[in-house]
Amino acid sequence: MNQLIYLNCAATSLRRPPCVAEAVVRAMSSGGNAARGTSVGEMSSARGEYACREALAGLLGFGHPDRLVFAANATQALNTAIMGVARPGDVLVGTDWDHNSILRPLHECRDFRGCEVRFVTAGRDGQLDLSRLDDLLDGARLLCLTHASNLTGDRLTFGQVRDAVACAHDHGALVLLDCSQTAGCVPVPMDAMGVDLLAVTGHKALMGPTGTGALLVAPGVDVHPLLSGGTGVLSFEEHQPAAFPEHLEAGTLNAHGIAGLLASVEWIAKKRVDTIQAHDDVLRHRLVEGLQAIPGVTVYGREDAPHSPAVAMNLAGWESSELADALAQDYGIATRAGAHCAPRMHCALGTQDLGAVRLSFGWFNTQEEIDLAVEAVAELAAEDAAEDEGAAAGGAAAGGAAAGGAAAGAAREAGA
Amino acid sequence: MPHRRSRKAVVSFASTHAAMACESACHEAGLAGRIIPTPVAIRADCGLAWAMPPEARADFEALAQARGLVYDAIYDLEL
Repeated sequence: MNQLIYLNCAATSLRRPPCVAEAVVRAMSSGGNAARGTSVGEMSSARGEYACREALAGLLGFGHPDRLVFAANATQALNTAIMGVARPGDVLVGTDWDHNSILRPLHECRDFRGCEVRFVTAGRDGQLDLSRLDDLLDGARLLCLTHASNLTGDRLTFGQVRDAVACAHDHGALVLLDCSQTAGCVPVPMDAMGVDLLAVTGHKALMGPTGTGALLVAPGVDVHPLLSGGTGVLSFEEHQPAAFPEHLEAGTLNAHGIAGLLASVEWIAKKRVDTIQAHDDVLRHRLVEGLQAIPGVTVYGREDAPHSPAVAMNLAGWESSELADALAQDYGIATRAGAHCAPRMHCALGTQDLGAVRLSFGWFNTQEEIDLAVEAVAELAAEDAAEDEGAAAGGAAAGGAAAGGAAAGAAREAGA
Repeated sequence: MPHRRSRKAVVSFASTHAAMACESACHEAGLAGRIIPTPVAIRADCGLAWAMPPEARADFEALAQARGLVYDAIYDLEL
């Protein structure tokens, strides 16, 4: 088996620009605790955090870097936004594309704050029915939108986000946009989109270290702190400082991770997001075209919609976990099977019992790797078909006992 | 080395980010000064302050206006 073909970038970026790890190592050996002193080490971390806020805000088209709040991941950023905005009895609106990092805080608000939670639903083709948004937003406090489904990669257009924001603002509702799957690989112009809150993770397409993320809060948007604690400033105040970013940052920040995130964001800015997006689009097209030509493959989502670099598929006769395991063990191809923390999207697609195999990629993947993945699925599908034929012939000769799928599964198990 | 006190213009801030933005802009513009722990005489929101020679104050104020730097106040202190 050759080296690992990593097609699980929607989970995390395994391959990163070398400057990222170098920056983390440098920070670990020289960085102090920012805002907890003014010696060389503390100032080094403070400057790194400042530079990262500026660079990341710039990459995300946000003109207020002081209101970019670091978080441990997108989940923490989304929880900070949802739990910090929702008041008892509020109406909160989510969508079927949402990851559990939005869904579970919404359910928390429903079950423990008496909030009403409504959803924009998706059809079997995975597309959101945004025509109902106006009704759903009646009396709402917050609309949570997912920029791209972490399962199918289906993505909202700039125009769809703008229209949803306009509709939400007409109803007096705030808009939170989850860009976990898009920041770093799709242009995300926050100010131009008009969203009030935007969450990112640092370790996926932004290619930074795990343990990094951010919540961007537009001016005038009031978010009650999720966490309280030390900030290095205003020590005699009983509550979190009102000024950003300290308002939503309690405790020591992950300065080492943020140093790595700064390196990756600067690397991406130099490479340009639209260049990365064009690269990913070529790979996606090649992958989908290749998979759709294989008998028994179902690719989910709609191909005429814009995407993030992820594809969800299944192969007839295979459980998603079994297929992902075969790809990993027999071909060295890393994918992700199962439910992907996206229960509502699986229900919309009708894959709640099957799950799906997600292949996701990024800048460091090549067309050759995509071709090898397609060849691997084709080979497994062909073996399966041959086993089915053999079982049917044998079954007919013996009076016909075993069903094809079960026989194929047994044959794979015996050969494993 | 003995510490020698001198008059300084000290700028206070509402947040660490504002202090770091000040440092970045002043370094870029070549203005004298450095970040210090906020003196206890100042009731500032931020634990970091910008200290500069008194004669740099006018240049700092011009830079702050031109660059939109946000600060609370400037104090004349013997430090």
